[in-house]
Amino acid sequence: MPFTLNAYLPSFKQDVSVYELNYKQYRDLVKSLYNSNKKETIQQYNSIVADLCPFIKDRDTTFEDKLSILLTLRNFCISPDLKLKGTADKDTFYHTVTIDNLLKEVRTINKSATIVIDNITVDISSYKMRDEQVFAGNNKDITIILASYIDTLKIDNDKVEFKDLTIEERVKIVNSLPYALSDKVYESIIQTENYYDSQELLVVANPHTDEAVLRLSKNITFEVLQKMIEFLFTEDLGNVFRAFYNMVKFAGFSPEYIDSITPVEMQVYWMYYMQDQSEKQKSTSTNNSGAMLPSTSSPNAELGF
Amino acid sequence: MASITNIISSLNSITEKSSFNVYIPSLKKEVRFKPLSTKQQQSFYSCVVDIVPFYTRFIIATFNIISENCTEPAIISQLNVFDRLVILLALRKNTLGSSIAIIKDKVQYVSDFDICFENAKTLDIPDSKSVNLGNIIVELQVPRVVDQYVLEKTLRENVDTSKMNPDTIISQSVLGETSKLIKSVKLVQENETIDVNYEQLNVKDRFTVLENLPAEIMIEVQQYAKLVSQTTDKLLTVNITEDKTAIFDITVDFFLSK
Repeated sequence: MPFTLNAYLPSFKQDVSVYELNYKQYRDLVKSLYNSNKKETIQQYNSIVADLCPFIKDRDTTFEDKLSILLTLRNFCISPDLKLKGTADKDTFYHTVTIDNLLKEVRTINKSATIVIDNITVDISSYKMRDEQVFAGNNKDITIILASYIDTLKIDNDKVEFKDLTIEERVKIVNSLPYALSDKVYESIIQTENYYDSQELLVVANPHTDEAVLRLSKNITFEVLQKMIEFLFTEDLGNVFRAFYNMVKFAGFSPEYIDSITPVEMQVYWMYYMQDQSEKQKSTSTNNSGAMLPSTSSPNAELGF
Repeated sequence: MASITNIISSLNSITEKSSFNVYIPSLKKEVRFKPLSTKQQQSFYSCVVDIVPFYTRFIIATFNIISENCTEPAIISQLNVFDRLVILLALRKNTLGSSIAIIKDKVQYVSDFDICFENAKTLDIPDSKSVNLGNIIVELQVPRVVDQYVLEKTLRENVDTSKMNPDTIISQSVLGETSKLIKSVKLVQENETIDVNYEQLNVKDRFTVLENLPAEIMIEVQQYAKLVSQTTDKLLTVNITEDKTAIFDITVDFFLSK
């Protein structure tokens, strides 16, 4: 029975079960950020998110839902802290934020609304995760935004669920909407986005001047989502492979097992291993130098967390 | 669960039910028009790239919209440029309202163009005019929207007008405006009148005919063009204060902001 976590999905307003992120998946996520093809990176992330959260199958999850799932995985399977490195006035500084705080902020996002004009009812929520690729390349086409935001369209007793339709089919419907209606829906979207734009998700200040050098709002657009993903999963790929190598070569774990556990579990094993080695070194310090260990001065750095 | 076809068909019937009357000056009657769809409104954004003096994309987009939204398609070929303006005013009022920002003498005023619908009802549309010059008879008319559309579509739809040289721009402007004002060209030879079937000619052939007409014709054409322009001004005159009026243009901006 695989261990599961709870992730809150803002657009569904409920907690859902998410499987743990294993080391192989973590490695793939880190690796895919190095891919210059943005669409392939998005596909890779969405595929892993879908594998880990069966709830989202056949459901239209939003950018906020995806971010919440990734934050949850980062929090429990990698590290509860996000340490960001910045440069101000040629000085390097670090800013640490807890993932839990970010999760609390994401939890408060609710973009859902219902717009009614005469006998037409439109339910909207937010940008859909499956449309992420469409928004790559700074696509601000209002028709696409509407097609992604709309969940259902009801005319008298006829109802169409947008989750069952491709982007082309959804755009076709949006194009046929009376402009008076689509304008009202778009206005509602803009109002909501402006509201969340004014709220902060992540702010990093220059430690010398207190001026914000980075500000990400709670309006989770394509750009904000990509930036958050970069912050959550950017890692020196060499460290990620080195950690795997060390665990197999020095600690003696099988590659299959390492790939099946979470990065944080691997970190715990490595800590125990290093403690053992340290004790062994103490007891045999007069004669032997111990196993062929990598530097012990900073074990976590090699694990890359 | 409804199919896409059903939903689109329902939306179409809703659009038809929301259609509204527009008084057509040339026909002196009201015709029903459907409101703008999202796609049609979106089409205006692609017109932003139009460069003065040509409004190619806007003319093509508005002709397509008028054709699609008119509930009496048979009248399209009869519509003139004044009818087009009144229809565009009505479509704008239906979507963004009748309020309009006008800049005059560097001061911005907010006005209402509802009065233009009254202007349309009393509009004195210039009659066709026959010009005789020796053995050539040229009949002038108020430009028709279909001619305006065909000219832009044929001549400039796929042309980057920003790269046109000034001579070509001037030549195309003059010939284009003149060609729309001409209804027919006839030659009188030995008591026999030969119609060159001007209306049946393509744009380039029309230009060739124009280039071969005597220069005096152009003076008559200019006078008639002035009359058309004055009538347009009368239609698009609004009050900006209690004692001031202003004339506004209908370009793509008219559909992009209130």
